[in-house]
Amino acid sequence: MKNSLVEGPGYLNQVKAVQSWERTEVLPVLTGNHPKFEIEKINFYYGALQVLRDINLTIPTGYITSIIGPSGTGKSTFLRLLNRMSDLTPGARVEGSIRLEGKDIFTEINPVDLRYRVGMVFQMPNPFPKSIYDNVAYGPRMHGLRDKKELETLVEGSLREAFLWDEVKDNLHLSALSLSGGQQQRLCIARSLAVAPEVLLLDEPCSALDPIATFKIEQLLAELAGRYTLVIVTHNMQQAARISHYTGVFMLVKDQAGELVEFGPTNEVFTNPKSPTTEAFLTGRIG
Amino acid sequence: MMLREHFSAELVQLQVNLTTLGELVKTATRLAVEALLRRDNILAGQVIENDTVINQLRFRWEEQALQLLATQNPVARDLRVIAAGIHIVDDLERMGDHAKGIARISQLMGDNPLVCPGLPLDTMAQKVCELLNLALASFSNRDANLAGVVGRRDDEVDEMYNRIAAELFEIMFSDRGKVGEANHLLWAAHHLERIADRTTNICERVIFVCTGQMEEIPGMSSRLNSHK
Repeated sequence: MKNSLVEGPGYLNQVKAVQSWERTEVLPVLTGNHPKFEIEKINFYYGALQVLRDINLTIPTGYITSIIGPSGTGKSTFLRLLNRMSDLTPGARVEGSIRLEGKDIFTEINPVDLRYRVGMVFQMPNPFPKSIYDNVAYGPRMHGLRDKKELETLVEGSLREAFLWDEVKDNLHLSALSLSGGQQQRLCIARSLAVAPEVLLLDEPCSALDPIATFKIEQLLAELAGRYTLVIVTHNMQQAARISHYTGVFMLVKDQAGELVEFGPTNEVFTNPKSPTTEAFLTGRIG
Repeated sequence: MMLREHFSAELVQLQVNLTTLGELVKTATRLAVEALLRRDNILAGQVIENDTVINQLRFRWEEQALQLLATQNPVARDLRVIAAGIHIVDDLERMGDHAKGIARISQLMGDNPLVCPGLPLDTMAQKVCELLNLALASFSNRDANLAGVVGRRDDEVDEMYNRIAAELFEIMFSDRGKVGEANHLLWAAHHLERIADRTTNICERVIFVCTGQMEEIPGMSSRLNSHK
């Protein structure tokens, strides 16, 4: 039959369109799915106090992974471990292993290289009291870049990547402190990007910002995904839901040590969490 | 910088997917009637088989809509599009079932040629598909006026159904040998009439998306009553 449902050209086009549904997944299509961080059996203590227990987690390359959970469950502690920010905290002790691209960050990568590869953005925008230009140029200069032309290109590129260039291009030599909070935060992101990291850790990057500035940062993070691996700690569950591809939930289960009670694609965590604890937290029944 | 670009893109995709689902239902309706009138039960079988695709896609659509609701906090019109869409895909799925019903009838009638030829079932099917097409267009174009007009045109389908039914009753009364087939064709016409009813439902949802108003589009009988 010429005009059959299966053979008709119109129908075939429709079926093709239908097949394209599968590509509307929130997860961007990336080549392979190899881990950026492999975290195994991490236990972390401040003196006698255990604050993280048996954290096992694989953070995939190129995606946004968010870490959510009530206050005091060790989310920020966990994030800071990923570039060894806790090394200098008195009494801090870590057990277990964290591998970046297969190499142990405590034994096989020196901390300077680690922080070069794994940048960090904090809750309060913290630009240096220098010009906008010098803030972005700071990292590359520290790494020995002196060529003026190259520096200029790098600064412009980083500011463009952080969606800030158009707003500051005529005032690059003004103090960074003259910028608004949202602009300062994007400047801090530009500053991190200037040293070409593989990973950006973000600890509550929007909690000091108004909703529009927050949306701008969220949009920026969405653009950076794919090229960078992003790990974001946020108190704002809806923010985690909106922007991340994977979500991990930290909770206190038996005592004061945070545990990872759930990890999975954000869509699944927010529509059908596996753990009853996660469900109770997301629906506001505990926390 | 456009804020929430990714969410906007996903919402657009969701609407495109809804239209695609509607197109599949339209094709199924057209081909089911074609199979019935041409006595082509291979084609009827394909319509039946493909209904499972429509059913699966409806669930897939709902799943994607729920994910957007759970993760993206849609408000205002974005929220209405998703809420309306969940109802619309339900209507579309049922319309697909009606198309399958027509294909089943074709199979029940076996391989015999039609003994009551010449009934305007194909014209009725064309009309039903045209209205569905316009309803889907009103959804994609956010056209409340078009939705209102299309919703009221359900009367045209009702009139056709009444005429076909009258003709079939005539046949049943005059020739007992044709009662079986006439009964089958009456059911097929009824399926088409139900598809048109659900098109009106879609139009009501489109008006809700555009205006925020939940209102029923009155059918002819209630319009006549209101003149009394």
